[in-house]
Amino acid sequence: MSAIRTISLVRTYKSKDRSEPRRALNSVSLEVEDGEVRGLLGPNGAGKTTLVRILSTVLLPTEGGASILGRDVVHHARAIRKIIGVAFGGDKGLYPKLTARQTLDYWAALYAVEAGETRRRVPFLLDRVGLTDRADDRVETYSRGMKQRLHLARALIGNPRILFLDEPTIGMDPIAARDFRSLIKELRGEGRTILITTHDMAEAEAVCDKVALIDRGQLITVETPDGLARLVSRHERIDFEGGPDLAQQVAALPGVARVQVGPTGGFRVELTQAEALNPVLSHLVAAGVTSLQTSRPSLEEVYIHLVGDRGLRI
Amino acid sequence: MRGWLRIFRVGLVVGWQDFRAFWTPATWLFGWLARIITSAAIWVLLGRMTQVPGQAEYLLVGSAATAGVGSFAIAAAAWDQWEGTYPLLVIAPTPMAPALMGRMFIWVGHWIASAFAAFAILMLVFGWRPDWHALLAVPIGVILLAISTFCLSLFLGSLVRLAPALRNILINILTTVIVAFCGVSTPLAFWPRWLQAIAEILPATHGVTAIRGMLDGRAPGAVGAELGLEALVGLGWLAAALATTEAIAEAGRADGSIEFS
Repeated sequence: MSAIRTISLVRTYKSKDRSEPRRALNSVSLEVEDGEVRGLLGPNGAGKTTLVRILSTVLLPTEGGASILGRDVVHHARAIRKIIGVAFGGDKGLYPKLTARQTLDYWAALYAVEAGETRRRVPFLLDRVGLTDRADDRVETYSRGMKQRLHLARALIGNPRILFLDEPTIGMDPIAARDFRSLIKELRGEGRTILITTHDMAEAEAVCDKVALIDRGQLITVETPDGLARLVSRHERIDFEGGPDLAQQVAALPGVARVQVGPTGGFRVELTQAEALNPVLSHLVAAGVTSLQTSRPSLEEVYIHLVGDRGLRI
Repeated sequence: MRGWLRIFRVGLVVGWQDFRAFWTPATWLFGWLARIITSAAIWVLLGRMTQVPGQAEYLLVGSAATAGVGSFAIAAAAWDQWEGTYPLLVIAPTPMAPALMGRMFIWVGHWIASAFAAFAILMLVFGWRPDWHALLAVPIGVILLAISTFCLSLFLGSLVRLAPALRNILINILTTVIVAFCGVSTPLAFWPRWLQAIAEILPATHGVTAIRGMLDGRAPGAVGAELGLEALVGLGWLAAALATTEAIAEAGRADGSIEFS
């Protein structure tokens, strides 16, 4: 049984100006296996957060279906809420006047964690997210990264089987982000299923078993981080030092998408198919090129290839 | 039930921190209480100026018993939306009502303390010395009145989640209605019958009547009946509040208004 499943999921929002409803999710079908760490990547406004909110029973779907461990998010919301933990990133979702300890005590009561277990679990979680030293300081005095860690501890208070983490490392410094990734690996080791929305390619590569790319409310692809890179391995690059004539010759070879000035001043060849790699390399060597290098695109480049480089436009 | 009480208790902790963020002992005493007592004293002075026997005492009881009642609690209902904790409460596996109630209930203590202080100071200042046996019973009426007003505030607070910007307007409407129509400053009989009928289901109407009855030495049965009616009014509003809290949360899940504001 899939831990998380959506079938043709649609979510629309009424527009304030009474025009056509806005479609935040458009027929998204997704399956996440039990124990998997799944990344959900996409630009702002892609629908990632809406998807997480439906799966965590905050929002109702407009059409289609979604289930958590076989339980329908519409009809069995109460049962689902006992087995999930949710961390929405950012400054929202915390009581600024409470301390971290009071925050966890509060949510332990709401997650029906027995009083004795609360006394054990709260310090354990504070230690796990590195907040023990600041446990009795008000949340409003925390840095963004500390708030993120408290969000995560809060999400774990009910000992959930399924975790939804929405942009969990926003505001974390690199060391905290690294520790966070270690924690995600620990949580996966405990058999939890984790769905993470993120913009951070390095994070997705480091912790996710699979990555789903979503854009404009539609699922574009689901792949392992390596598989995603392979998807565009036909776009594998060759950087070489040579003259413009040679660049023109290479551009005419089969399987070459384009040749352009590379990042270090030479030329960069982009391929449309992996099979073109050897013929192009042979051609360059035969032409006397002695400095060349092949490289695979980073996940970030894959993302831009698939989603498109829209800059700040949504 | 134990679970509800535990959630209510942790909600109280959140409310207490809200309260501490609002007031220090000095600002509560010299900012809040001084203003409330001055306002109540003006009513008593107006009563004296009428030279109608018992009028000053009538206004003293009404204004002291309702000193500050209704303030802040409705606004507190909107704070979870601003803090982004409201959706998290909705998806918690236990009912969110006791947490919301706990957070708002802290203001009941604020109302009760204000009323007790107003009674003590106004009686001292205006030299009114009712029978001390009767005076001992007054806290029962004050506490019941505050709790039933809290229940109406819970109901209005659930409506505020639909339009958080209206929270302060609703507080002002509530306090104005209580002072004007519930027998606090104007006898109920002054108003048309239909308005009296509405006042019967509002908090404070029976509570203030009961307190006046205690101080006037009315029969315990009559006073008890008024207290019973006050409790019944509170329970009615509590039931309405619990129903609307859940219904509005469900509506918010459907139309998206539950999301962070």
